[in-house]
Amino acid sequence: MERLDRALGEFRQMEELAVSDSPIHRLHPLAKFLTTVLYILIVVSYPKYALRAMPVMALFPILLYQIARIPLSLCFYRLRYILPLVCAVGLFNPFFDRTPAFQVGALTVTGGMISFLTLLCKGVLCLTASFLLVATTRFDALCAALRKLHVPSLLTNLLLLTYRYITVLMEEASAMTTAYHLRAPGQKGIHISAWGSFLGQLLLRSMDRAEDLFRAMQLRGWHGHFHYVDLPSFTARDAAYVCGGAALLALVRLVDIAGLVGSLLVR
Amino acid sequence: MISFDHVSFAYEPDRPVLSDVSFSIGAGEAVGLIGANGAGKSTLLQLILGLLAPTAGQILVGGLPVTKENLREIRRKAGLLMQSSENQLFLPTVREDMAFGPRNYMVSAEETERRIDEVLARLDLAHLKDRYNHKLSGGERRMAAIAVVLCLEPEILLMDEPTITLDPKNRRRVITITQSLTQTRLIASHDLDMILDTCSRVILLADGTVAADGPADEVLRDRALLEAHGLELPLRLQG
Ligand SMILES: Nc1ncnc2c1ncn2[C@@H]1O[C@H](COP(=O)(O)OP(=O)(O)OP(=O)(O)O)[C@@H](O)[C@H]1O
Ligand SMILES: [Mg+2]
Repeated sequence: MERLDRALGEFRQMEELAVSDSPIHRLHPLAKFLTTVLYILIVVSYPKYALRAMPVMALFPILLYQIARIPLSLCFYRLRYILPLVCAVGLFNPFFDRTPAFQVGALTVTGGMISFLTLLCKGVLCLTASFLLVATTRFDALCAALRKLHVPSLLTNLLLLTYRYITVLMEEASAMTTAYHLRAPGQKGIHISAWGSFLGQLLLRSMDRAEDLFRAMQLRGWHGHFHYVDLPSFTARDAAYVCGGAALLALVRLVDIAGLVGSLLVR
Repeated sequence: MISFDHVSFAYEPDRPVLSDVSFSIGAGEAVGLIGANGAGKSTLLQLILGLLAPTAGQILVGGLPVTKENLREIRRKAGLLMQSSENQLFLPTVREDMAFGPRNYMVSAEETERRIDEVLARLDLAHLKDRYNHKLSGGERRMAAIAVVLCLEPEILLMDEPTITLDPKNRRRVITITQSLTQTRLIASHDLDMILDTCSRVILLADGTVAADGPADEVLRDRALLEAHGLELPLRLQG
């Protein structure tokens, strides 16, 4: 099915994106991971009416996407299924919180509207930041970085194997739908009568393949530790990135830049 | 190097795949494993590496019985080229897949890199080094899988249908390389011409037992024997 193939293609494209080259790609995964987590924490830490702080916070990802040579539009396109969910989270705020905040012409802007928009911005910013991390860091390198932070290997292995398994599952599904459509021309989708056996078969086939892949790993000496990602050493540049990023974020968080700019303009 | 001592195996209790199989293969020997579809060739190779456990009998690899404690040692000694290369390759690029094994066995990064380049040069595959596995053709993937196994530098090489999906040039290359190796080799295949070129001895599996075990020249020329077990003379010996 085209849609499956497209999903598989997008998944693979992410992998290729992650191994391309840019100053951001070259940073140590740990450095990127730490700054991303810090960024997300800071974004989330803003109070619920802090809408005017959001544009300033948005500068970080906008700048980094430029440096990483990844179009922001790609992020929004890839996250097109998740973004509506983020919108849905705060959708009811405007109905509950009707305290008027200020007036724009005839429209009374309520606290609920502001908190809804703030929440929306927070969600979008956190997603863009996470997307950047994944788009510039190989998944296995990310797991290796997590190991460095003493995240249990059980968890990182699980993450990695799941990540591999998703591809297998999609490949099998794609191969099976192709085989199905070759013998059922002109049919749109898969006939409902075939769903049961199709899903069952898909599960069995992908489990078989996952098992075979696992064997292939064992045969080549895998025993629960991933050795193949040689994390680069944590250089002064990485340290500078983390410290600089943290300092900048702290500054932005503590000093109301938007307010400052505003008061300067008014004066 | 490899010995089977009255080995039996069944996936399902009432359908034995191998029954009472015995043979032994010496160090440096190149042995062809032939038999009709479903004869149990792939199963036999998997038994050697302990991927499956025999229901009876004992298997020794390099003097070690194939038991749980010895698996790591045995798998370091023996490399298996799986029948399906889709399942053999699991990392994004050919290079990473080749590095996976050596790195797990604590081969240094530089040595691994050297091995990768050497193996790729030998197989004339340098152009595949940084290619994505999922973007390779069936035959390219086969060659990549062979490279992955050779990169482990195993003492024992187990190959399941090495020449499947290869074009004549690559098939020839694989044959030449297989001939030049000094390791113990056990090669399962329907490509009897290739077996004839690369192996000095042939084991014929049929009905779960060893139907013939002898010099390649004799077994592969025995038209009656081969035809009785669903096989044909190598093309080169026909006509
Ligand atoms: N996972 C499995 N579960 C149950 N039966 C199996 C399984 N794998 C193989 N078999 C059966 O075991 C027998 C031997 O299979 P095997 O794959 O070893 O044959 P083969 O000689 O390698 O055949 P081919 O030439 O087709 O590769 C076959 O009858 C097959 O149906
Ligand atoms: Mg087989």
